[in-house]
Amino acid sequence: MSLPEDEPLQVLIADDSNSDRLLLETFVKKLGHRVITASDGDEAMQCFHALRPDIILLDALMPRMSGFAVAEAVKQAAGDSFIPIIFLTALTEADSLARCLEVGGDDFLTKPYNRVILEAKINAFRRMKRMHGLLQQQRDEIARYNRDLLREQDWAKRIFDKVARPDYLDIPQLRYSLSPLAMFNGDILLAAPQPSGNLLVLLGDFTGHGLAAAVGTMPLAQTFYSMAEKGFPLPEIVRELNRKLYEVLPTGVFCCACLVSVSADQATVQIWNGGLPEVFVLQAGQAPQSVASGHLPLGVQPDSRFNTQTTWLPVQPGSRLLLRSDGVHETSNMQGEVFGEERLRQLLINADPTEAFERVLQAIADFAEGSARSDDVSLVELRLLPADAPAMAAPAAVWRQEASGGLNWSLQYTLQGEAILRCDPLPILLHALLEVPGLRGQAGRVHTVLSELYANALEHGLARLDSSIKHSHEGFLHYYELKRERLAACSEEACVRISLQYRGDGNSGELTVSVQDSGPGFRLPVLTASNPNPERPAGRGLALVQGLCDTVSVLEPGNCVQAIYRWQAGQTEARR
Amino acid sequence: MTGQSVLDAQLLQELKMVMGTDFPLLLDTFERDSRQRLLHLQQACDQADFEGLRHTAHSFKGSSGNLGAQQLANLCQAIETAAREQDLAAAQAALAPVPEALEQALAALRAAQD
Repeated sequence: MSLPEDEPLQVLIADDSNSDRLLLETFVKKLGHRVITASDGDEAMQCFHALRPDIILLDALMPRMSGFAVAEAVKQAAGDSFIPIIFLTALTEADSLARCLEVGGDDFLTKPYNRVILEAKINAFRRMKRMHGLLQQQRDEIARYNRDLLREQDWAKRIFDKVARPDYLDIPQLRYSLSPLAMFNGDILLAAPQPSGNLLVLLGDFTGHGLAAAVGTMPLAQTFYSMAEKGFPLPEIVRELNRKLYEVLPTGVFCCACLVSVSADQATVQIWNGGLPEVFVLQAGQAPQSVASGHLPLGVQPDSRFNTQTTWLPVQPGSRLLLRSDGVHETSNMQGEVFGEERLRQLLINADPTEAFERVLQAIADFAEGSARSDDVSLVELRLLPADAPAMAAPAAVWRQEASGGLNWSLQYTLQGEAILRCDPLPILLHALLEVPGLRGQAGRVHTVLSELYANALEHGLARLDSSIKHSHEGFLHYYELKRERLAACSEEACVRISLQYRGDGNSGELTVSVQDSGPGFRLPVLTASNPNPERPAGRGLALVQGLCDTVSVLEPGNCVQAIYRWQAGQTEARR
Repeated sequence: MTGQSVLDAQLLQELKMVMGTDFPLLLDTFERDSRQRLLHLQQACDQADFEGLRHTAHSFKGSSGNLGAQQLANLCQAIETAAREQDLAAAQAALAPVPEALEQALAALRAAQD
C-alpha cells in the first residue's frame, strides 16, 4: 500500500485514562487523521483486527492485556505490513523507555504530551510507511520476475535439449565430457554423418552464459544438420554457419568453434579451428600434433572477409583427436592456480593416445579437487576407426522427407567458366535425386557415383591432371593446389554438363548419369575393382563407379562419361 | 498557594487552544477520573495494596501532567515511589495532601476556562 504525502492516516489510540485518551484524540483529529479509540488492551486488539489502523498510539500500562502484550500481538498479526506503534508513557527512566522499543514498539511519546513532537513523529512514520510499501512492491516485483525467468529458462532448456540431437553423438568414434549445463554455458557438440561417408563433428563455445549464450545454438545446429545431410563440404558449411551467426547474433556475441571432417576411408581429417584451443592429433609412436586456431570465431566477420581455409592431415587408424573448450586449461584449484596449457601438453606427450581422454579428465578432476570451479569443461575425443571397421550407416532418421519425386524424370545441370571453380553442384543434385522414392536409401552409393564422375571431369577432363601425383601425401596436397590453379586458368567457355535421367517404380529403377566436359577427351583407365593397383591409390574413383554401376562407358570424343546405375528392391548391399 | 503555581500556564494555554469548545468536556472527564482514582488510592492504602497503589498513582500522575496540574502530578510521583518501595507510611504521608491538591487544581482549571 503506498501513501501519498498528505494522506490522512487511521490512528488507533489505546489508553485506559479517559482524559488522556480524549486529549490525544483531539490532538490527532486536529492533525487531519481519523481516530479510533480503545480503553484497554483487549479492546485495542479487537479494534486492530476489525479496522486495521495505519498507526497505533499505545499506553504502556493498561489493566488486563498490557500495552507490551498488545504490541507483541500486533507485530505478529501485522506480518509483512509495517504498522508503527508509539508507546504513550509517563515513565521517565531510560531502561523503561528502552523496554518499550524492545517489545516491538517503534517509538515512545512521554507525558505530558507535546503536540509538536507528536505531529512530527506521526509524519515521520507516515514517510516510513510509504518507503516500506515501496520496498515491498519492488520485492514482490522482483520475486515475480524471478519466477518468470526460471520458468522461461526451463522451457528454453527443454527446447535446446532437442536441438543437439544426442542420438547422433552416440557413435563409436566419439567420446566426450560436457558439463550438465553445457548448453547454458554456451558449449555445444554436434556430429553428423554425410552421404559420402564422411563424419562431421562440431564443437562450439558461445560467449556469455545463460539464455543469451544458448540461443545461438539453435541456428547453428539447424544449419549444421541440414547442410551435413545434404552432403555439403566442410568449408561451405563453415561459411554458412558464420553467415547465419553474423546475421543473428548481437555484437560481442560469437561462437568459438572447431569443425572436423573425417574422411570415409579414415585416412584424412580436415580441420577448421576458429577461436578454440588447439586440436591435438595423437597417433601412436609420434609426438602430438596440433592444429591451432587459425581463424576468428563464427559470427564475427561478414561473409566477404570470412576465411574457410582448412587444414588437412593424414591420419592412421586408431589415431585420436582431442577437441576442447578453454574450460579445460582454465580450470583452477583451491590455490587459485590454473591447470594451464603446459600441464596439458606434458600429460599428452607422456600418455598413450588410447588413454589420453581419460587421463586428461582425471587430471583435471584431481587438480580442481575441493575448489568451487564452474563446470565449464568440454572435452571431446574423436577416434579414427580401424581400416576394417564396418562403414557407418547414416541413421535412418536423416531422411525425413516424404517422397515427392516422380518416377520418370531428367535433369541437366551445366556449370560454365568461373562457376566451375566456385560452385559445387553435388548437394543440389543429390537433394533432387533423394526425392525419388527408391533412391532414398542409397544415398551413399548415388553420391559416390555422382561425385566421382564429376571429380573425374574436373581433374582429368578440364585440368588434365595426372593421378600419379597423388601417390604421396605431400603429392596429395600438391595435386589439389594444381587442380585449383588449372581450373582457375580455364577459359570462359569451359563447361561441365551433368545429365541425370531416371526411370523406375517402387520396386526397381535405373539412373543414368552423364558427365560431359569441354576438355579434349581422355581414355577410360583400364582398371577394375578386382585388381586395383596398390601403388596408385588415386584413380580408384572410376573403379569405384564401375563397381557400383551396371555399365560405365566413355562416349566419343572421349570427354563424356556415362554410368548406368540400377537398383532392385531387396538389394541393400553394394555390389563390389 | 496561588492558582498560578498550581498549574503549568503555558501548557494550559495550548490545551485550551487545541480543545477549543471541547475544553469543558476535558475538564469534566478529568474530574470524574480523578475522583475515582483518589478513591482507589485511599482504598489501596488501607489495604496496603502496593501494586494497586503504584499503578493508580502512576496513571493519575500522567493524566494530571497532561492537564498541566503539576503540583498534583508531583504528589502522585511520591506515592508511586513509596509504593514501589513498599513503604506504607511514606505512601500514606504522600497521599494525605492529595485531596486538597486535587480541589485546588480543579478550581484553577475551571477558572482558566473563561
